[in-house]
Amino acid sequence: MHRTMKQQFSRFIASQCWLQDKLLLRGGLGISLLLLCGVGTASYLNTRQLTANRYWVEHTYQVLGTIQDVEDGLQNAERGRRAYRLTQDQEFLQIYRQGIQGTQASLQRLDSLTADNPHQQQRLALVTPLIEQRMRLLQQSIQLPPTATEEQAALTRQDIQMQQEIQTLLKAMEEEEQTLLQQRAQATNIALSVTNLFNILGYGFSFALLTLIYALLEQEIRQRQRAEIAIKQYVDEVEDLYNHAPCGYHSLDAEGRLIRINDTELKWLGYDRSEVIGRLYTELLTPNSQQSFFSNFPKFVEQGWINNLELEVKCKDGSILPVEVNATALTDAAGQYVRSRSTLVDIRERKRAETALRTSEAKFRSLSEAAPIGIFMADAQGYITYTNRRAQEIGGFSLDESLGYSWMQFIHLDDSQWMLAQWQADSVAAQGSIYNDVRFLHRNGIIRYARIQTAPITDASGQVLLVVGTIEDITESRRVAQMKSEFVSTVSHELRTPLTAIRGALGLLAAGVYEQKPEKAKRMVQVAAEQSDRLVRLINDILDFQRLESGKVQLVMQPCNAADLLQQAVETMRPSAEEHQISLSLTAAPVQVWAAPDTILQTLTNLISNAIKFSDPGGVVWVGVEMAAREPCQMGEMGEINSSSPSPPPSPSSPSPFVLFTVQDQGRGIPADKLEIIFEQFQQVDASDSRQRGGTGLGLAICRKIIEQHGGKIWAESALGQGSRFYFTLPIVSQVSHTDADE
Amino acid sequence: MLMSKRVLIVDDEASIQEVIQGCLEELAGWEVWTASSGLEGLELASGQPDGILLDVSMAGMDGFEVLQALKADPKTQTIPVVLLTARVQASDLAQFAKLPIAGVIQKPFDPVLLIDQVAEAFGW
Repeated sequence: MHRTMKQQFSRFIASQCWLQDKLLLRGGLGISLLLLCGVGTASYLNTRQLTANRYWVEHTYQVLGTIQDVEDGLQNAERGRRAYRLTQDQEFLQIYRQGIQGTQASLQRLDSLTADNPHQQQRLALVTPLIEQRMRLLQQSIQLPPTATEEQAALTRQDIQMQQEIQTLLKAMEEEEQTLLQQRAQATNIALSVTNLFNILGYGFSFALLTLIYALLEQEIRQRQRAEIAIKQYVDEVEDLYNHAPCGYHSLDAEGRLIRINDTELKWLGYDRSEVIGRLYTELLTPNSQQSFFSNFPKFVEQGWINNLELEVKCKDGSILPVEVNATALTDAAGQYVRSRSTLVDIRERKRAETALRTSEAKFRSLSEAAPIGIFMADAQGYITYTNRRAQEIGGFSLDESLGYSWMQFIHLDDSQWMLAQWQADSVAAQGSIYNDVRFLHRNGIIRYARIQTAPITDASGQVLLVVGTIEDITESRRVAQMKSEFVSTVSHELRTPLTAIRGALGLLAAGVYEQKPEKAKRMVQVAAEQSDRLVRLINDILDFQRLESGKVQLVMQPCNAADLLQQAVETMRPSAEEHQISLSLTAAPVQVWAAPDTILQTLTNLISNAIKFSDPGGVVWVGVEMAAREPCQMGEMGEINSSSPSPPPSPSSPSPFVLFTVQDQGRGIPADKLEIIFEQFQQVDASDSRQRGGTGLGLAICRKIIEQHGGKIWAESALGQGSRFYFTLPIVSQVSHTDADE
Repeated sequence: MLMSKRVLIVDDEASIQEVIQGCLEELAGWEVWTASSGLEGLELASGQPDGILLDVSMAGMDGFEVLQALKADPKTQTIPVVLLTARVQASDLAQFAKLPIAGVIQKPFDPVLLIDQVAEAFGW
């Protein structure tokens, strides 16, 4: 700014000097010309004066010469008279006559020559009669005879007198002329001197002025030369700046044709100037950019500017150059568009950076969006600014619903008060770190337990800028933990119950309470023994179940004959059946199954044992095995207990054909709502079953684990009061690889 | 010596019922009534025992429901109740503390000390 003002000031000073010089030059030159004109005029006038003087000098000399001629004529006439008087020779008479004629002619000339001079005319008027009288005397002398000497002498004396008078008058005339001649010579001299003075002064001043002007002109020329050099330098610099600036420049006319373009842009595009000047700029653009150009150019022409227009320019080599254009319009006095002043910036790097940023952003966004954990961001005031998909799933809200404090409405009412207070207090004050388990209540009523943890993002001074956080759905892990806790609790309960009986019985015996009552004592011992057995069973089942559930049991699979397995199980359970007065009915097809025989045997004995336990005396328990290939059908409460060919519940993991085992009783049946949960641990139709029937509550859970590990299914159908039917499936041998089978 | 008391035992576990009965009858000389289910327990409670030993985990009507029914019935609401339970976790105990009961006896227990525990709980 300062620099620009300084430049303007120096330009102003320079222009003032130039104005002074110009005045000086013009004034000096004018004065010189005036002087020269004056000198010239003076010289002309003086020259005219001199010419006139010369004329008058010559005139004076003519007058003098004529006076002399008059004198000479008279003298010749005198000499001729005298010689004729002496010789009487006619030749001298001729001379006399010539003298008379000459004198008369000279007198006439003299009269005309001195016509402008009254003094001389007066003298001439005096001398002329004298001369005429003398010529008459001379005539008389000639005409006298030679003897008339006396007369002659008188005449001669008269003549001499007259001649003197004539000579005096002519002398006066001559003197007059001499005076005039002197005056005229003096006047000429003065005129010459004046002329010289004028010339000297005039030419001197003119020379001095011209010298000054020359000096000024010289100075001016030098200044101009310097200015021209400066201008040239400036022009060169501007030209260089235009052409080699680190940005592209071009100018487009009203039609969008290139009329100027700088070297930088040409270099970018790879074209020669001649190849692009006059071309429509759109010809250099990609189709997308052409659209953009067409929609923006008229607006630009109208408003006179455009900023940050991004275009893609096609280079000569086919590559695409992304540029950012800023332009202003040059308009004429009438405001009509003349051409553009467009600057272009190469934004390849920026584009690359933007792409990289976008890629990075997309990467991190996808990372965040695909993350199996909820992620969110909040500002320092605790306003949520971002949540990922998982966070939205856990919270039961959409992205919009999660922003700001909106997510709070999805917090379970019991948690929202303390959560909000802690959120605001902690996210702002306590460096943005909180750690909490809260409940989200979804619109469909589902409650998700979530663990929220946050961490602050701070600037260098430790100021919290952002808060990032994770939301972990702990519903399932909480459920598992609860289940484990419940399991432990249940196991503890299940173990304590027989222990209580054992401890009580032994305590009473030890206290000697029944010393006098051996029957009672014996009964206490029996109670202790029974409950000990129950404890052992329970512990065995717990261990079995835990092993199966942890997946640590490697089943040793082999091809087995299903009928043999069934037969073996029936034989094992026969004593128990007989004890309960139950008959066992066996229907077995010789089918090969792929199984770990011990575990299948365990499953079968468990199911048969249950069937016996829940059957009334005299009842029948049917056991059977068969091939089944039918598609699964809808399961329901077993209304047709004796109908054949049941199917497993729909499942893609139970391919057909398969081997189907059935254990059916005529017991009290199972309520429909219990058909599923009886396969859970410690879930019995009636909790008292474990006491009355000697079950541990783990039998069916163990069976299910075993069958599932075989790739089979187990389920039950029942009709209350009619009986229950337990099924399980196993893969047939051909379904597993022959290599495995051969092994 | 304590006065003879009538104690109602409600427990669906026969062996435990048997052991407690033996203990209270033989050691304390109390009159013992036994019930194998909640419903049966409520029936017998109407007979105005001096105290009730109530098992918590029972099939059908469990101990809590029986307790609620006892306290809801003006005839039985003043009968002190001691819970018998195999639940010994802190959360369980916290739950029991809120109940209108005279005390809790955890399983397993020493039958010789049971009488003192019961008498203490009932304030006998």
